[in-house]
Amino acid sequence: MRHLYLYIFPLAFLLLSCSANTRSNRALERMEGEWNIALSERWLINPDGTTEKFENIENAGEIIIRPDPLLDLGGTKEISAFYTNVNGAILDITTLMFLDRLSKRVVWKNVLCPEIFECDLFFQLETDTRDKQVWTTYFKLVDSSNPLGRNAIYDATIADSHTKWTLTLARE
Amino acid sequence: MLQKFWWTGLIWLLSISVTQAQLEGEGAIFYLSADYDITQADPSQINSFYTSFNDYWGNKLSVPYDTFGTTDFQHPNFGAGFRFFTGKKVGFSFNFFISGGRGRYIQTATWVNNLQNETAIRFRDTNFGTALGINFKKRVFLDLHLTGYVRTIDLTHTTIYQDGSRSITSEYKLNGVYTGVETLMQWGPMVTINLGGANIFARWSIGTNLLFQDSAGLLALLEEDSHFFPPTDLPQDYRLWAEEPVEFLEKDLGVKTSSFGGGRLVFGLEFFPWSNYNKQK
Repeated sequence: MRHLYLYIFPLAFLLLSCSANTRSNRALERMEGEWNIALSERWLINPDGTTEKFENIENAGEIIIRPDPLLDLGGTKEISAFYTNVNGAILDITTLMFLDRLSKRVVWKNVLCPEIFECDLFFQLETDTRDKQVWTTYFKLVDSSNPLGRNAIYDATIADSHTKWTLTLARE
Repeated sequence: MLQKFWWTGLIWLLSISVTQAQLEGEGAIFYLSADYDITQADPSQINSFYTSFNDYWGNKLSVPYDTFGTTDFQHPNFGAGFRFFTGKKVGFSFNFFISGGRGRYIQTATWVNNLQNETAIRFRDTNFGTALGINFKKRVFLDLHLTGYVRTIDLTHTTIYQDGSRSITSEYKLNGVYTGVETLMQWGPMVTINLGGANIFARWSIGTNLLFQDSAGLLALLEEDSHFFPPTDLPQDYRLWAEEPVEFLEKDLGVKTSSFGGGRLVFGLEFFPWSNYNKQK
């Protein structure tokens, strides 16, 4: 085996390529535990580019992320969120969560409604460290009958304004 | 997809074994490479998404999407390889190489209210190749190469709000990450010229897929985006997607990954960091 390194090089590459699939699972494992919602911020984004901050609550609640109680294969977790918004409305839910394959988004299953489609809540993962998470989601304001503004067609001119909601989580 | 990847790796290993047996004791050199890759693609399907989106929304867009040209997908690669050679004045040469690179290509449309849609297409390429040919005084190498190209494609559709906030969350149905893999096995001529401390090379890959079928896979959304009502494919025909989703599904009019593949023109440099090439000539 005069050129042993000829074999090592491609074999190492193939092995490394196999480990790449579990990146989002590893990130999800790291999130497990109890988190304080250290800061909840909400803004109105106006069409002229100005923003109005209408929520800035410190210690707004708690999020607990646990193993999926039904099928703990590493791809999903159970999340319990307790949060009180600026108007005093309380969100108290327990549901499943997962990350997308690129670890760019956190998805809470069936938060918005109990049906199969259009009911998940997506957060962008802005910061992802062991002790701090920053999650952001957006809503479009269309009309009172569709307050979350989730419809199929992409007419961005229908919505006068959009809202941005950012949660900053600190590990307890 | 992973199966194809393993097959390509296996072919690489077998090729090394055969060549090593034949060339024990002959000249061999390890090199690092840097090259520039120009894909001669047929981007008509992704362009159809842009033009149909522009047509559908018409004067609600202040700046419509632009489209891609056939040679817009270009990016650098970096890699390594081994070259084996025989003969004094004229001899054979065998070459094995692996390289990888990334490219990012962005198109943006602006609505009349200054909100923007952005598609950011990201390529992650892994290329395995082997070449067989003749050399003249180990200075000029004329080869035919056989190369496997694995191109992982992510298309991120982002809404950019008027304050600069960027969203890939689900408030708009097009938002999200669409993925696909284009796998090609292509052949073509390769010319390498030694300039003393480095080689320059040019490699042309004819746009015919030899080993694998042309990928028919849709540039589909990640499975987590499937919470939307179907169809969830990036559409070639935006009007059909928006107004006649059942007909859209029947006609299978999602953008295919083959829209991002095609013949390649690659030119670059090979360096010899741990070998004295001149002593082996």
